[in-house]
Amino acid sequence: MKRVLYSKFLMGDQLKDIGAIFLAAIMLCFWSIYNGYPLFFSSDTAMYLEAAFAKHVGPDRPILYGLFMYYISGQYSLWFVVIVQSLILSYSFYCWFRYFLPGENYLLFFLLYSAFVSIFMGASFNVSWLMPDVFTPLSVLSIGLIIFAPRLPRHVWVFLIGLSILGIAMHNSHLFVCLGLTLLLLAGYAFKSVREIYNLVGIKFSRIAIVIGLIITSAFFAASISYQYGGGFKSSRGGTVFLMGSLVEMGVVDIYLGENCSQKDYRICEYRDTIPNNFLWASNSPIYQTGGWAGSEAEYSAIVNDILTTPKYLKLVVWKSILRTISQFMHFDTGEATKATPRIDQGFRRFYPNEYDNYYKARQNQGELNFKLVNHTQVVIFLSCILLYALIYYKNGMSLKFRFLILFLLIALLINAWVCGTFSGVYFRYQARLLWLIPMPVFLFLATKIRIRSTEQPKQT
Amino acid sequence: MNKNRLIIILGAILLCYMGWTNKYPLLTSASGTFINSGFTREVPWFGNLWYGLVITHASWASSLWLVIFFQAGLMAVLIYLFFKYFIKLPEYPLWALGFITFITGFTTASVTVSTIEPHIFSGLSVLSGGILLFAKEICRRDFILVSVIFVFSCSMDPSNMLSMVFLSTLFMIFGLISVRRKGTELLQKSVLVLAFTIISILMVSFIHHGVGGKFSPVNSYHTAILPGLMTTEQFQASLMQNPEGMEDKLDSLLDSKSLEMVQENDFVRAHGIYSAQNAIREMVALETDDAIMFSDSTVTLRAVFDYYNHEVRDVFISRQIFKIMQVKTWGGVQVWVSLAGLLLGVFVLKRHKNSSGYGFVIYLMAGWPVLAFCNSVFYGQAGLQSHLAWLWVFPMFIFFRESKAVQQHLSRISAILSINVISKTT
Repeated sequence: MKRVLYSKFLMGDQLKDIGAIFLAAIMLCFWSIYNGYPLFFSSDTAMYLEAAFAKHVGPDRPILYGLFMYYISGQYSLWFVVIVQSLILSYSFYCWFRYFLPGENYLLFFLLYSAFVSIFMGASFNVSWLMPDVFTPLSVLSIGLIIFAPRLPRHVWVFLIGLSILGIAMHNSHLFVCLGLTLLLLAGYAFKSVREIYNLVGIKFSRIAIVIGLIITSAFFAASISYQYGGGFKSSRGGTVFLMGSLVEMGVVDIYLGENCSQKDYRICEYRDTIPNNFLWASNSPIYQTGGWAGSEAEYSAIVNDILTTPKYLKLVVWKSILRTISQFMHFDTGEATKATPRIDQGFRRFYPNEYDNYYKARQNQGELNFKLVNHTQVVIFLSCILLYALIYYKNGMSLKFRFLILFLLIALLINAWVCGTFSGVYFRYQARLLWLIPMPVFLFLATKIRIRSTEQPKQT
Repeated sequence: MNKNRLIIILGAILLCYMGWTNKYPLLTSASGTFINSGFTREVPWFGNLWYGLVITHASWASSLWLVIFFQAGLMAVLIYLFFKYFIKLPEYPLWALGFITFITGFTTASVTVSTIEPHIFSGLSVLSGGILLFAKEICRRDFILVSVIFVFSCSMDPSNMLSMVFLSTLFMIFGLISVRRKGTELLQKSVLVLAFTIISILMVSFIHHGVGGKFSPVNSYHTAILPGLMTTEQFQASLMQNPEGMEDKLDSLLDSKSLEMVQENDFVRAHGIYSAQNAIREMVALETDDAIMFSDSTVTLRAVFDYYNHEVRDVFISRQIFKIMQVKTWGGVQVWVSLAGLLLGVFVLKRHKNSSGYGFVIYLMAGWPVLAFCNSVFYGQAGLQSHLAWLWVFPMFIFFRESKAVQQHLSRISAILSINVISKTT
């Protein structure tokens, strides 16, 4: 009787779902609401906005996220950007809990998971941040769902295809992370035992092929956007210079220049005793003395090629790459929201003058944000998940599908750590953006257990 | 690869957490002196050469990362063996991993493991000593492994040697007293531990002699205790008698003053009383000390530049150098964890007298003041007990092993994770 009343007079299922998605989206906006304004990052947010407003691609990053902010904000309010980001993420979570497992009790765990990663981890920070980082987990979530979900309705397919193409094109690293992950899955087909696991888990070759198609489409999409805005037909920006910066940090460039400057006439040799660690952004960096990002690319490309094809240097690069991958894997403090730089300040004044006061008075700009507690809880959650997953693998616990999902997410984290740590550098934000996916299998699994109990109870009575 | 070995490797990787998050092993002002001593084969004035040699060889003279992996590896192996002999459940490797995860998240163990200083070996010598004393039916391979680690760890620092002499003697006396009731097992094992301690003292003395120094486990006794001595009022007053000389030759002045004091008749009594007073304060000083945070010492930076040149940039991009390596939260949590460990240890002693970890809890409780005292003798009030606080998590886990309520919860979790009827059929 109660059920009939509930379904007739309170909420229909669809309305309940929509309500839950909005509720989760509000929770995911926690940090921007607390801050009083969306969060920004160093000068990077301003650089995206500058490129979008100037309608011209910069040498160091794709323009797409700038355009995303430009159009979603309607050049009026950056709050719209955060709202859209939170809705996309909330809906992605919803899709996972709705379609990864068939059942009726998915809403509770969808909301619990959204609350958990918003309060105790960095999900809300990434959503509230005016940076493309939130699209990294979104890309992983979308390709993951395409691969894992047994059946998907047409509207979800449309959403996932759109999200995959958009998300992967947002940042240089997304392409490599998603491609690496998918190619690894594809490589599994070479082994009979892995093929058997794929069959048991329900992974189909056609789905992997779709994902690869989406990644290629996304690369073309990014290249077309770049071409449209004067950056040439390139899917990623400044890759060689980023790698050069990373090799400088590794100390390999010092050794290489020390041994080769006498024979090779590189312009960077003039500055080899004064190369700063912050090679990419320091004003005294040789990049800015030898023709900027675009002007230095050819020379750096030759150096990088030489280093990577000489075993002596390659050995050191591989060693440092391993160290940096593990370091990046465990380097995930959230909350890189410091006070505004002059460039950010100027950006808000120029592009969003109506919101300048709100931005200026926000807690971030007053230095009132504190992330110590979240960061410690993140460490504890991370370690607990590692322990739990070790236990599951040791005892062959959960089901094969869950074990495979855990492996999928851990490999995504590892590839992300490798791509970022090796090709760019070890920075908190690279891993913090994905870390909050790590407890997801636990929530999905608990949802199954609740479902088992609720379906078993009538049998017992 | 064997699953248990994988657990040890994973545990070692987790134990280096602070190194990973710092982007480089943690360095202190003393790290440089140890690195230099290893390469130059000169005995440092405040300690011995052993740790310097370990740095040189464990790093293969190429990367300081290898030193902390080595430290973490030894610790993970010892923890694994502890759970093998004291928990005695088929899932003991998972208990070991649980323990490692716990101490990484809630104590400063990871800071200690990731630092280029010999502090971690104080904990390892206590742990390996405890395994040697109280583990039952230890197999030959494990016995040899633990013994080697014990001698190795004990040799790292003069305070470790002194602590283990005191502790083994204490349990030898206890073994003698209880020989009628409990047989000669404890007596034999404590004699063995004392013998291993003496072996470590002799080994270090031989090494010092071999590199042209004195046949002694320290450079000289009065300089070995100088760091501890310098914090005493008596020493400071003595220095102030001729302050004009301080500016010129501070090192030699400190040296001569410490020698003068050591030669005084009542020195042993005075320094002993002072160290005992200090030890009481040290026993509860479990928050992290400033030395852990960072000291951008030129000696250390120079040593990295000279011997690990390709890692200089790594040092300059580490969080330590930007002074953003925050470990205070861990230090704060550690105090409560240690207190909980102590309370649960008392509970084990009272309620679970047949527990396989019973003797180890007594050993830890007796060892704590001894370690604090020995550290005070050599280093004064330096907050070194914070490096050992992770040991208090053992009584917690021993309690978990004995508690029926905890066991029930664990088996329930285990059942949930292992048996999933619906999922297994899909």
